[in-house]
Amino acid sequence: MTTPDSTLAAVSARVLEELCFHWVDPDSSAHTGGIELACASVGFSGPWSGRMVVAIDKGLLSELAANLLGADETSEGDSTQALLELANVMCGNALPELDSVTSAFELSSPEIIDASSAQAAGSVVASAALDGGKIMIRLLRDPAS
Amino acid sequence: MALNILVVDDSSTMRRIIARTLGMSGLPIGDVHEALNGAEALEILAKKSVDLALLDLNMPIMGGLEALEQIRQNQSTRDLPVVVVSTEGSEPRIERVKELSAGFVRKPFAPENLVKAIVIAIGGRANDNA
Repeated sequence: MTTPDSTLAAVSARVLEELCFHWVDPDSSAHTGGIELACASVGFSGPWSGRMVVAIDKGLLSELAANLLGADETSEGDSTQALLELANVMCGNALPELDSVTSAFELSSPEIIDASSAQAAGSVVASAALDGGKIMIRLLRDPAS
Repeated sequence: MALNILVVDDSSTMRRIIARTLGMSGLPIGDVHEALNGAEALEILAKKSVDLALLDLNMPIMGGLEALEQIRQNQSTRDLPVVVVSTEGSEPRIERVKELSAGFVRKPFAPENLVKAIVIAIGGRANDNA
C-alpha cells in the first residue's frame, strides 16, 4: 500500500540516485542518535503551504556533494550548497506526487537551519528515513494552511 | 561556430552541474555566462551575444517564467532558444513553459537528456565545429 511516507521515501531515493548516484534503502525505524546532521529547509506555498526539512549525516553529505559535483574533493561550502540543492529538488519532486500534478506550488529559496529546528513539532504530512537514518526528510504543513 | 550559453539558476551547485554537462557534451561550447535570477538574465541578454539560455523557474527577484515571457516580448530576444531546467511538476505550468520555450528538462536530469534537449533547441547548429 502506498502511503505519504512511502511516496516521500521513493521520491527522495530517486532524487539521490539521479542527482548524486547514491543508492539508498528506506529505513523508517532508523535511529539518528550520535549522528551529526546538516539540515536544510525549503518553504513552499500553493494549494497549501509548509516546508520540507532535509537532514543528512555530515560525513555522508560530503560524499554526496562530491558525487553531485563530479569532484574528488569538496569544501564545506560545496557540501552546504549541495544540501540546499538536494532539498530544493526533493521538495519540487515530492509535492506533485503527494498532492496533485495539476497543483502549482511556489518554492522559496532553501536555507540552512539548526538541527534542533529540524526536529521542531509540526503537522507532519510525510516523513522518511533513508540509509539507516543518515538521511531524514519531513514534509510539514503550516497550521494555518 | 561556438555556442554562447547563458545558464540561469540561483543554485551555484546546479550551475556547476550544468557547466560540467556542457563541457562533456561534445557540443561546440563558447562562452558560458551565468545569472542568478531572471532579472540578471535579461541584463546579460541585453549586453552579450547568447545563442541559447538554460533557465530555472523558481528563483528569487525574478522567476524564470516571468523572464521567459519578457524574452519572448523583446524583439531582440524573442527567437532565442530557451530550455527550461526546473523541478517544476505542475502539468498546467509545464504546458505554459513548453509553449514559450524550446524544451523542458526536469531536475534531476541525466546529462544526456539535457544535451538532447539542447541539440533539439539549437537545431542544425549542434553539428557545427568550434
